[in-house]
Amino acid sequence: MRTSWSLFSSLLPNWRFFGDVSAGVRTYYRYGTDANSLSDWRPLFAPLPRRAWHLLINPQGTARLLAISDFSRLLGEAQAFAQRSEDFASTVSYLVAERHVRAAVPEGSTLFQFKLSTNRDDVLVSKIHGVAP
Amino acid sequence: MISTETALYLTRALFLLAVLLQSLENFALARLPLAQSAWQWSLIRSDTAGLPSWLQRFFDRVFSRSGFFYLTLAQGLLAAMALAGRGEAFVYPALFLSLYLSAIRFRGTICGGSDSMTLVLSSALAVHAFFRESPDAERWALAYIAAQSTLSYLVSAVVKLRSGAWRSGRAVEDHLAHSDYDVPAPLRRALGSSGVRMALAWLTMIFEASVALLYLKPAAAPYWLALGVAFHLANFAVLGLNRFVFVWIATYPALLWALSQF
Repeated sequence: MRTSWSLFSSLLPNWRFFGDVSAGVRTYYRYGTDANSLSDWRPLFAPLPRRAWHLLINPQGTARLLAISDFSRLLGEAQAFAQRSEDFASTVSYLVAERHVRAAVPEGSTLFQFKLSTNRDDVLVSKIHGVAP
Repeated sequence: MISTETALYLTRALFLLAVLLQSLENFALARLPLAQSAWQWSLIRSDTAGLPSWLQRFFDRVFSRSGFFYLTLAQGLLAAMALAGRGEAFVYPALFLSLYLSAIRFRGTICGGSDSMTLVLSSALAVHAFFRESPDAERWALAYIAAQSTLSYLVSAVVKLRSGAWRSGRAVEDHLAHSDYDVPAPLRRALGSSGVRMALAWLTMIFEASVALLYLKPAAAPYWLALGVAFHLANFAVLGLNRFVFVWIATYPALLWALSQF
């Protein structure tokens, strides 16, 4: 239950930068029209150009960092769940992640799936979702 | 090394500049399509289901599309007003409130630790504004900011030093070569070398941990702070952490002041 925590988390500094494993996780997705022949897994986040003036203001870059936080939070909550149940798929964190991926699915696809992986193994694999909300 | 008045003046100016830049970025962020899909308030508001209905109604109003626009506008105007030297008594408490609400809008933080440090600075300056008649208010505000700045490096160093993955350099590969962070391709390639990974890991840990040594040798502070600026610029170049640069540098006058007390 995040209700109260989401109100206070920003007031309690956590200076453990890159001390946990979740920062070393990459998000992949695949899509298609047939659940049995989805595309290959590909990274969800395409490289963004970085310019010197982005030091001052970089909304796309900050949006990327916020999205990474969303998936990192999802992973943290997934690990808190004993099993990947339907309840987990209805949490706000899961729904936020699902919408991130849905926004990246190319036109014409009707299905998609995503996963979070370290360079050693998959740590979370979603079920296959329909593109239509 | 630096007087209390100068340290407070510089802290405020750098903090307000950081908030002004954050406000401009938030404006643009709220206009991205994701703000109306993954970050749509109607979805995120489920987090507040257990709160009193009057607070939920307040959030619904403030975090609606137009509400967040005005919140961000107010934040930018307040920062600009304070930079012009006006409204000290209410600007800092109001900025704290607006920054806190902006963080709640995005489930706790917009940009992780940079939001936390922005709130540390704004809370210290807001409390100072409330108690500005007290002779010790300036010193307490600066001491709190300096303590949090020191802890931000030290805690981060201790966590890494305790991790076998960091000591071996493997964590650098995990966090930079195999993560969602947008690390420049040449650096990703360089991380193929175990020597580069190990060097980067230990340089980071040594730099972060060395903040504690400043309290034993305060005269080294200007050199360390220059390294700190380079460290945050490198984090921007490697990980894209632009918000961290300005808000951490805004803590440096307080850190310098605290060290000058030893």
